[in-house]
Amino acid sequence: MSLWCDKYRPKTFDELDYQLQQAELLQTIVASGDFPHFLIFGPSGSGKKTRITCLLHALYGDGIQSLRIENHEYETPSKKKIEITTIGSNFHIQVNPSDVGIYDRVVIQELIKTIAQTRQINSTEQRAFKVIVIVEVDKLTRDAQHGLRRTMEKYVGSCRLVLCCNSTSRVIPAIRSRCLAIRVAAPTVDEISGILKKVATIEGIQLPVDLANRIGEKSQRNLRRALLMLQSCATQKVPLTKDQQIVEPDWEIYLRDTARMIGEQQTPQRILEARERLYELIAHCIPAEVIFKGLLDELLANCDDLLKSQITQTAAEYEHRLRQGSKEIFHLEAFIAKYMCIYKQHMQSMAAGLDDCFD
Amino acid sequence: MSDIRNFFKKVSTPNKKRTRDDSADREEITSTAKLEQKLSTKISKEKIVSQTKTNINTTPPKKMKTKETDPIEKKKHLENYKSFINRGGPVAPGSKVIPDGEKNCLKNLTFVISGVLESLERDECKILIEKYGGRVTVALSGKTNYLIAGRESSEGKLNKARETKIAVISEDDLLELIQTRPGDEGTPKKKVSTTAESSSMQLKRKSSSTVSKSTDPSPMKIQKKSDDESNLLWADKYKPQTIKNLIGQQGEKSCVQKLIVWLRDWYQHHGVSDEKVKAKSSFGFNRNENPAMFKAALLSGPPGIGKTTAAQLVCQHLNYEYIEKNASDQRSKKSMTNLSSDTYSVVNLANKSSTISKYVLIMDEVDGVAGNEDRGGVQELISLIKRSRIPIICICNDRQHKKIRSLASYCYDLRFYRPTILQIRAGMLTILHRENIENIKQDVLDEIIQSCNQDIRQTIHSLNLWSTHGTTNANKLAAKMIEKTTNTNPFELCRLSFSDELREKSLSDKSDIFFYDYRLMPLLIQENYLQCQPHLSTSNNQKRALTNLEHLNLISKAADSIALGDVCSQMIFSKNDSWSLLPYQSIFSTVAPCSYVRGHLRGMANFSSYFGQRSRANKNARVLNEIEKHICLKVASINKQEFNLDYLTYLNQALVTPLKMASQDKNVEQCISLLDDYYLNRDDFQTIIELNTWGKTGRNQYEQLDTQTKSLLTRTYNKTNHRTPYAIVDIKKLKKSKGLMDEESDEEQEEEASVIIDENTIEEDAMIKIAKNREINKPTKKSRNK
Repeated sequence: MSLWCDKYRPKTFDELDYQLQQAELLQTIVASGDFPHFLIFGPSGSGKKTRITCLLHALYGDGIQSLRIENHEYETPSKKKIEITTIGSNFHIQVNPSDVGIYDRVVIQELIKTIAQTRQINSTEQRAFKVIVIVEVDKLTRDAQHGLRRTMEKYVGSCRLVLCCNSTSRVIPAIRSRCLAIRVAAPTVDEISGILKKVATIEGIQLPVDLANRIGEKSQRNLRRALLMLQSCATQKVPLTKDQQIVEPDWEIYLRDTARMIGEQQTPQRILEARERLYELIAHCIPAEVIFKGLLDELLANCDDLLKSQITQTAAEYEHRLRQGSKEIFHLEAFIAKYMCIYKQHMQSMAAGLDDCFD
Repeated sequence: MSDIRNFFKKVSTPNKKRTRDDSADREEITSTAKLEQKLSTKISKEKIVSQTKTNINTTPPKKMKTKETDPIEKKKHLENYKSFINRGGPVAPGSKVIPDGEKNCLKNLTFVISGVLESLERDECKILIEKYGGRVTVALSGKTNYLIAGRESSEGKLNKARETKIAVISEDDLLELIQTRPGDEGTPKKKVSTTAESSSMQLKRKSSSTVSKSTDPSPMKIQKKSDDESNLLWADKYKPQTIKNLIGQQGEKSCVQKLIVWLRDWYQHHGVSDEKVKAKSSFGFNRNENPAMFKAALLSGPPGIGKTTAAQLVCQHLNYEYIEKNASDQRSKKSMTNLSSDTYSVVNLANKSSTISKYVLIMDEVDGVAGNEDRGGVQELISLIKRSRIPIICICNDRQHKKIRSLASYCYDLRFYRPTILQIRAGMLTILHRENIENIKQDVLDEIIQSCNQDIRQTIHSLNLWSTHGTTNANKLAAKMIEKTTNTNPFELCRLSFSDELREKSLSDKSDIFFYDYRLMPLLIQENYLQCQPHLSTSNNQKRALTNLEHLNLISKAADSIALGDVCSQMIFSKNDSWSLLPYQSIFSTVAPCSYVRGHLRGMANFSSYFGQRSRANKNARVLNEIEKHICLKVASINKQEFNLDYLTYLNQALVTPLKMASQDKNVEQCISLLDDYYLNRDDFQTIIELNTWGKTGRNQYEQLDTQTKSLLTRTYNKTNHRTPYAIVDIKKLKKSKGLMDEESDEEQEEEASVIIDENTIEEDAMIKIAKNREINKPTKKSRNK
């Protein structure tokens, strides 16, 4: 028994449900036997890695599914030992160099080079190249990205890179230009509800259309989350109803409550309470950008239209600073304080205006 | 050290006394003197050599030249010169006490120095004689009164002296001469406490009549002393001379009393037996109960409260000789070993002469034994303590230093605490009285003492400084000035930075708070600025309360500035070359936010919660990483962050919901099969639940399960084998095996790690062969990779 999102994950191009045109394109590229480096990007839960698996399957066949975990150990120039885990089959290897933080350059240099330098012995039975999948390329340090540049060109005969990331904005142009960039857009709500229905029928559950649409919206067009939501709904109450409560991730609920708290009352004391809660979120490894976004969404929903642009601008400014700085909590707190200030001022001027009207 | 030297000058003694004075400057003086001597001797070598050979009164230069032409003579010259070069300096430089004589007591006397004297360099001797009005010439003549002969003095001169009946005297005779001869001004010098001289036991210490002010009846003496010491710092001038003068050590149970008892009995406990006495290292509460078992004592406490002085005075009090080593000496393992052998020789010597029997080694500033130069010093000190035959007193500031801790278990632990203000005040008033300063107010004095953090030495220095500028009006100013130099803790600084006190201060004063600790202060400010109740500027006297909105406005500005400060610090630390930005950061992180919300803190300043939260986040990131590693085969298309955001809640739900329903085997099995499917183990299950617990009041779902279910889960889980594609590392086992079979276990793990997990595809195609081959090849390949 595994979760539905893993159970019904497509394994070949034929099983894909959306962006079929793109799938076809990929299929033709692979069928030609050779392809350039890929840079696959898109929001989370849109099926980037599913497409990579399909690609690998089309290249190498079922052998791609016998996976193993390997531990590698490297030594940095400063004699620090770093360990990294890779997942691989006989034909490909998947690595996340950003696991080792600032030492990712060492991984790029050592691991990828060694793989790239070894040629396949009998290229008649297999492809002439191996595939290296690098995930979270946008989290690589600049040094690591530069380390990747030359490797990509030099060993193009013996390996192909498939880079995977959420956004290309943090990938240096030099790498972007060396790859065929493929954007995997998030599925639309309709597509999601279609998939949900398909899954529900296989599982033998009646899924009302309204609920499917609601899940699609709640999941923020994240298919993985949508499937997880559906399953949790199904475990709660078996005949699914239209107005059934959808279980959301805990952190989202917690974040929303925090935002609501800030909206309710604007006092220094509230900032302190909010700080506690923000610390809690950060301690649960929720990225600060996600916190920022969640807060802003919720705060905007509950404030006057006149303020929206101003508050969004403030949020953008502090989010920018957050990326420049290192201590997330400072920036989040500054944003909250600013928001409270703007909101309170607006409310007071509104109240004054009302008083004027009555006078 | 300086007082000891003074003491040498003051106490007159004809006796030979071997002391050890290791202060650096002293060594320097002798070494430079040696150098000078060598230079001068080189220049005049021909002259001297010819003198020794020819026995002629004066050596004309011409003759010398002719002599040089003779090859045999030349050879002799060379040998003489060689031996001259190699004859070295005084055997025991500085070992003798140079007496104070009457002025011009050597007037009209002419001396000739020959050979190497026992303790004085030739130059020193010359200076000494000239100081008392004597004359030193190179060659003997009719006018010469005395020939001072040392080791290897020239035969010629001695013969000549015998011929002309010039008195040949030794170095000691000279010293006695200086001491006993009457000066030109009149009466022979009254010997300083003849009793002290006669009893060699008291040689080294300051006899009460010479130094101790409080007991000295003669006003003349005081006058003389202050003449000598008018340029001394007060701290040295008024250094306690007897145990009774020590501040804050008068009680029955004071450290000094304990030290006296310990030291007094030391030779009874340890001195008798020649065999090696093991210094027992004992732990527990009662280890200080029995001081007799320790061979060394450790005095610890903050600086400036008289630890060194106490140690010295106690030695003097008990008539023990002491050898002092401090941080100015090199104290590496090697030099420490030398020291110990030296000490033995000292002890042996003492036993032979049996005049002075008891020695103490004072190791000052033991916590300064650090760094490359003093490598192994503490270890050597410990072993020195173990085999020492003399008591050792170690002195340090930081009792908790990790190097000291190892030492402390071998030592009788005596902790010195700061004396109370009252105690210091009494001592200070005495000093001020002696200096004829009466106008200081008691509260100002108290303030100075407090601002010096009850450090006696610093208080005296401050008073000294104050007295030079001192007017009555400057009282406050002086105290303020002193206040600057003292340390306060970061919390106090944090409170201060928000307080109104700083409102009128200069920008640099404000940013000084940041530079107290530029890593910590921004965090403390950030933690506490919300707790601060801002006051409106005092300039407009309206005592109007701040409106809520205004308060929020200020806080927002402060928060904004703090955030900018963070950006600033990131720039500094990420590139590590923009340290010039640090002053800007001080403005953004400390000065500006404090200025915005200046007022008073409600409640005490808290420590920053950032550290705790960050370590929590790091820990969670680590466990998430671990789980992600386990699960990654099944959900190959995921990274840690997405797993955290998407999966975690639902996985948790899927795991716990069946368990919650009822304690049925089927439900438990369902849970376990899910775990197995994702290659998760029992620990991961618990971690997942912990990661899903929110807030302080958050409920841990696992703990809410009833115990029956929990035990059933554990039982069922342990019953079956669980295949995992990763090696489960048992930390306890790993630690055990680490020492024995380090490499072996590593290899095992590697093999385990490379076990291929074949899916159901295994029968389907011809891959089997290849896969198997790979499996065998795997380890070798990996080693190549490495």
